[in-house]
Amino acid sequence: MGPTGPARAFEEAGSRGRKFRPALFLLVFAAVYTLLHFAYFALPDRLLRDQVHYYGIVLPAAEIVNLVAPREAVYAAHGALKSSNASLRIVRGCDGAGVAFLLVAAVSASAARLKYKLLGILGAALLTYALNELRVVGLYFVVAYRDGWFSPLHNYFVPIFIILAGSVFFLCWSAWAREAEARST
Amino acid sequence: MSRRFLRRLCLRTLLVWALVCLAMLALQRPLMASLLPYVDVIVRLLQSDFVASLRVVEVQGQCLIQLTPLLMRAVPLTNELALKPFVELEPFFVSVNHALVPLVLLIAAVGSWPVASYGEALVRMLLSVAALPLVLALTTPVLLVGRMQMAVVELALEHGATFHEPALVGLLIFMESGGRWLLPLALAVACVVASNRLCIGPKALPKIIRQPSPFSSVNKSRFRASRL
Repeated sequence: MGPTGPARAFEEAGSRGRKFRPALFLLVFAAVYTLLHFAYFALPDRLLRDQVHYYGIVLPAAEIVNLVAPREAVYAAHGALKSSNASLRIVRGCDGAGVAFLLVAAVSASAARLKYKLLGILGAALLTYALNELRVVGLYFVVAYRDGWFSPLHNYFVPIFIILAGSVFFLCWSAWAREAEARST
Repeated sequence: MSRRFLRRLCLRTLLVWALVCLAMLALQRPLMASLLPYVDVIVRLLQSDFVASLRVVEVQGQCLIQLTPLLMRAVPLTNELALKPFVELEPFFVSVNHALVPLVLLIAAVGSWPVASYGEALVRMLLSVAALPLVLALTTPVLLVGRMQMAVVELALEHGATFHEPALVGLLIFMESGGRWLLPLALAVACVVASNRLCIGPKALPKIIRQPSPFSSVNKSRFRASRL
């Protein structure tokens, strides 16, 4: 019979090397998540909108939309993706930071070597960035052509999908890190 | 965890996500209407400034939870000013879709992980049903009351009061920026682990693995010896 639960995965992890300690995991997870959460909310709105969101999210999203559909003639504004068809506002929280923080905290708290943790954090950041950019581009087209779909997609389908994708990423990463450690020892 | 298991898990998660999301979306209005009395109880437990009149309304095809607060006592804004008691304030709205996300996430996360037996599936389902009220209590009522308190703080600031963040607003910000995803995921892991331990047991697994196969080399030689 195949694996039936995290309990078995944890036991396997323990038997192959570093032992999983739930209390330590929770402590490190809470500490890292809290630190990231407060650091994010300490960022001034203006810095977030005019620097982080503009260069990190809005400008690349505008490039992608114009690459896929040049007729849209989308341009990047501070805090919004705009065209003659639609205007999509990008505010605090639209950057996928919540999911990224959860993943980074979970990877940091795991019982793996620093090298694998750093690779996990890099992977988590890339995954959440890519999914979020895809979300922003997708939502732009939804606002432009199917406005009625915006609320269920933005509030419901997409966040749940991204969180579940992040959870599966974490499981895949922990399985990979465990295997890699077992091979190296 | 094998690669095959992980591939299956990805497909299963995708399927469960689509099915649970569609089912809950189809049932969003009656489901949320049936949950409102419970939300109302939690709103009353969280604060005593107002009583909430809660109902589900449809605005431009979108289902919303409408909270109309009726103040039960004077709410001070500054040293001189206060909101009068027994006055109904402007209603607040929260999208039903938004309110359902943590519940859907819990169900989808629990349903995505494979089960070893029907017994484990039943135990897991019962545990997740028990976890749902906790998830609901810490999400939608906190959001509703937090928004009400934020409106009072904003009004106080307009009248020259110094800013102080109510504790519930802090909790609201935490929940809305990731806590409402973390809570159902943590409870889902707890449900899966607990059902696994209850149905299989932590010590049963190594015994099954270590049990020698009837066709192991030792048993084969014994089998040959008995035939001779």
